[in-house]
Amino acid sequence: MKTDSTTSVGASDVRFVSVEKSFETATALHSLDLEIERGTLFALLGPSGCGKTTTLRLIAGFEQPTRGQVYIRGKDVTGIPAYKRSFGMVFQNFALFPHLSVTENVAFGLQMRGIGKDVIRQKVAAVLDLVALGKFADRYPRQLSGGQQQRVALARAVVFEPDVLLLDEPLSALDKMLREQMQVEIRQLQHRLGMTTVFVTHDQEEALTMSDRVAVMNHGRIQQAGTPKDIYDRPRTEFVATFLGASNILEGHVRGREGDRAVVDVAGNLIQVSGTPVSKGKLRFALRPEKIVLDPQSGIRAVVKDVIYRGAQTFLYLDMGGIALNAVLQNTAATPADIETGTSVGLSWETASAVALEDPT
Amino acid sequence: MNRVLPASSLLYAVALPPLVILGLFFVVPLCYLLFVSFMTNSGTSLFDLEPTLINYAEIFTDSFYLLIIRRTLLSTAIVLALCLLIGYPVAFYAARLSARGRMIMLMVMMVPLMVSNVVRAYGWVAILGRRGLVSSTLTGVGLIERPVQYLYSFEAVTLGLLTILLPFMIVSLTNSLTTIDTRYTEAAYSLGASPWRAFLRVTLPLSSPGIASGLMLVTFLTLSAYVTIALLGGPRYKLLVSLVFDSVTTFRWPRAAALSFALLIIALIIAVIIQLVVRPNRVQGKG
Ligand SMILES: Nc1ncnc2c1ncn2[C@@H]1O[C@H](COP(=O)(O)OP(=O)(O)OP(=O)(O)O)[C@@H](O)[C@H]1O
Ligand SMILES: [Mg+2]
Repeated sequence: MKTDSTTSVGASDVRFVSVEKSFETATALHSLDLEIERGTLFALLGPSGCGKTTTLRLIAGFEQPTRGQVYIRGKDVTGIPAYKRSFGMVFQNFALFPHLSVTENVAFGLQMRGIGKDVIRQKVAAVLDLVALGKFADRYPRQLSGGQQQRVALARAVVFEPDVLLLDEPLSALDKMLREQMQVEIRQLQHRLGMTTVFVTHDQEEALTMSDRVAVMNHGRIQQAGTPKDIYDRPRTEFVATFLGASNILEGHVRGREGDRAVVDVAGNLIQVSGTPVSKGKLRFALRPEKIVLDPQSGIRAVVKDVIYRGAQTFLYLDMGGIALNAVLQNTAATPADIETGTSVGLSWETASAVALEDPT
Repeated sequence: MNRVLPASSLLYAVALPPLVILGLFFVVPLCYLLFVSFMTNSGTSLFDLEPTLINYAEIFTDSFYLLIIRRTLLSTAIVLALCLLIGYPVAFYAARLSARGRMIMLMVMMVPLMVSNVVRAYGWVAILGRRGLVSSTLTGVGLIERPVQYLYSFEAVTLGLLTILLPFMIVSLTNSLTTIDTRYTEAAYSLGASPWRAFLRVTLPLSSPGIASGLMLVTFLTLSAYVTIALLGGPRYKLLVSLVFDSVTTFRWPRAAALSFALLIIALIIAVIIQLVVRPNRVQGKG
């Protein structure tokens, strides 16, 4: 037995320690550290090819790391084959066994664990009720709609109460309506069962609405991990700021410090930027369009280039001393109804909304 | 105005020539053969125009014919079993190769098929005959006292058929196994199935179309492999197809026709049994 500090970390269900994964042609993951707490719904978010599926397959044991260790429930499972790990998985195309009925599909994991027939019957019936598929027990996967297949896949993966539930873009095959409905259902199911769940998505909205924790990945690295709000409000890199929602990325010279904030000169406007120890040189920071409000008193001025009315919101395309800036205004009663293009407006925002970025300029 | 041909009549026009050919060269002769099988054997012409059931009655009552039928069924069953048992592991291995490796392997397996069955059968004669390779080697090293005839036996025929038919089985199985999505196996692993159980519960049933088509191919080819059976079975080990030939050479055409139909019916029954046992349709989720 290996003695390792990780065995004492009881609360973490999945842990990667410097995991690297190389294929013959490319390195999919570079020294990945990851820690997923018990009971959380954890989203792996990132663009295509960034290594999300590879990460999931490493947890599953379908792939083995080139370097580093994988722990599940504090146990080093590196090198242990998939079928000896305790996890449930919903595959991207569901991978329901076509030759088995819904009941047989769901019962499969229980049968492999040598559970008695009567118990299996009860558990299968219970989980099919849970996903509202009791009536479809005797159907074959072909005879089900996409959403129903998805629910069978989910039932099959959770019925034997695995330590970890893995979902690889479980909703990407569904249309928008169904997807939103399933997002809610998965979330509720996960809460009810309290199962540590890792799910892969390239849909930022899905990651934000569904998860307790998000890890944003790019080029085989985790760029940032945290709560959705944390990541959205305090992105650390330009990639995170722009991948998760929209952001204005601004840059300027640091003119000095004011408390814990740097004062940055952007085209003649002095802007306070939080979260940086920098006191001189250039600084890049992100500013969410919806954090910007119109403020006639403000010294920060910009010219309105274009106005797009979108019902609940108005999109403003601004020019701040030669720098393009986007703003999204909520169309509340307090917002001025008409903003003319070509006019100069004053802008302001909460100081905390301008967030310094770490990546090199 | 040009009259546009409706799509259905176009389809009809395309399907018609093959249908005519099929009717002319297959269905009509078959009907004629059926007709002949109910006629009386004649010493002078093809048959005498006297309806009779004697051709069939003899086949199913004469102890010699019954022996041959039993022997044919047994040989077919053994060849099928061996093809499946040997072919499956080979196909399983082939399916895991890269597309290129698989192609090379299947090609290499097909090469012997390019040699005529007659030549290959004579190859076995040279190996298994009384003065053949095996016999003379064994006498040479003193394991047997005098030359032994290994030909004209059940084993010789089975061995001959097996070497011809195994590639068909392997190709059929490999095709089927390569189309199975690896996600199904991974799904089985994720549910806690060991590789062996994943194979039994998932891979094996999902390969049932390949098993069924392979078994059917081998059945039909075994039942009709006259050259191999005649050369390796000789006068001592005859199968049903040999009797068809014998009847023809003795100008008992109606008897030959009846035997052909017996062979056809046996083939169809075996095909039905294969379908019922292997159930290839379950892959489509039809039970
Ligand atoms: N079996 C493999 N052999 C070689 N390269 C692979 C293999 N699997 C993945 N890769 C490479 O590793 C990188 C990460 O792949 P991965 O499938 O994890 O991406 P992903 O984030 O899941 O993308 P997507 O959103 O498109 O599914 C990609 O560049 C991919 O080409
Ligand atoms: Mg993927």
